Amino acid sequence: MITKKQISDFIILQLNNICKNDPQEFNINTQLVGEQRSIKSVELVELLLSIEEYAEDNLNVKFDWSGDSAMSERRSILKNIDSLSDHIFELQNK
Amino acid sequence: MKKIIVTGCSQGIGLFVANELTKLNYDVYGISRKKPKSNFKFNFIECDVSKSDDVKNVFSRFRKDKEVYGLINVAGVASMNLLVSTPDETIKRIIETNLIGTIYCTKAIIPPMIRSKIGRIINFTSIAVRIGAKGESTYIASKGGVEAFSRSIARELSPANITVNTISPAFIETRLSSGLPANVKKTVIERQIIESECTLVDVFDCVKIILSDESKKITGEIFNIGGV
Repeated sequence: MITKKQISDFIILQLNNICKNDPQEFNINTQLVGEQRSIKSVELVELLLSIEEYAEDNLNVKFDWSGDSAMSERRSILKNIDSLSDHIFELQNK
Repeated sequence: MKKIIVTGCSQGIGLFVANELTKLNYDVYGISRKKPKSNFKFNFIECDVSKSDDVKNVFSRFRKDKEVYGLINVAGVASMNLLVSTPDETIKRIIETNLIGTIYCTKAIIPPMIRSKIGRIINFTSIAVRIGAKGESTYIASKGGVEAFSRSIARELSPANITVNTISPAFIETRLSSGLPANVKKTVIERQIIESECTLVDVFDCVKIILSDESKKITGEIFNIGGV
């Protein structure tokens, strides 16, 4: 089973790659949506597409990131790297 | 080889555009509810764009495909009628095909285009939107929606070098317009800057311009063929 730390490391690695033209420090508290978000919406979509592949290839689960609260700062699983890692980790147990 | 998906390929503008694109060395996928009755040279896929599951299923094959370059949303239906005598089912069908179908297909093509960081999305509207023609209120509402949608999604996708533009042909003889009375056709043509009918070739010329490398910064625009 892949650990939550491995998932968040993967997310941070992907973000560094996606944002290589605009380098910044990413950590588990980095916000992905909302006013304080650190990345552009198109970069978020790129990240989610790579996680979608990662989840399919490594965890054998489907990561469906569409939802009415996807962009909600308070309720979204995409709120920050920690909440996103949590969600992917939990998918393994379902 | 760049891939282009054309919806509404069974006849009219969609069929013509899809066939012509194959001559320009694009790998063309034409989708529609029914297979074209006349000859076609593209890859045909059966799909009802108004059905979410149909669209998801058909577009899933392109989700990781970095060759996808274009989506041309031509699929459309129309009905000439006074609103008061238009069945609710017809209203629903027009909105679901013209507007929601365009939104579903656009949503489904975003993942491959974001991956390759390039793309051209072309939607179709109608001169009827600017004229506010009588007897076409639902059709006009659906196409007005397509125009508004295109402008908004153009902004959303611009950081990924994906352009979204809308073509508004002048009056053109297709199955969709065949039900229009002669006086309505005349009125429409008189409202155009170039007072003559538009041809399928005119429409395709505009498609070629939008697909060209030189149009990479042109987005969120409505191309009124013939002017209005």
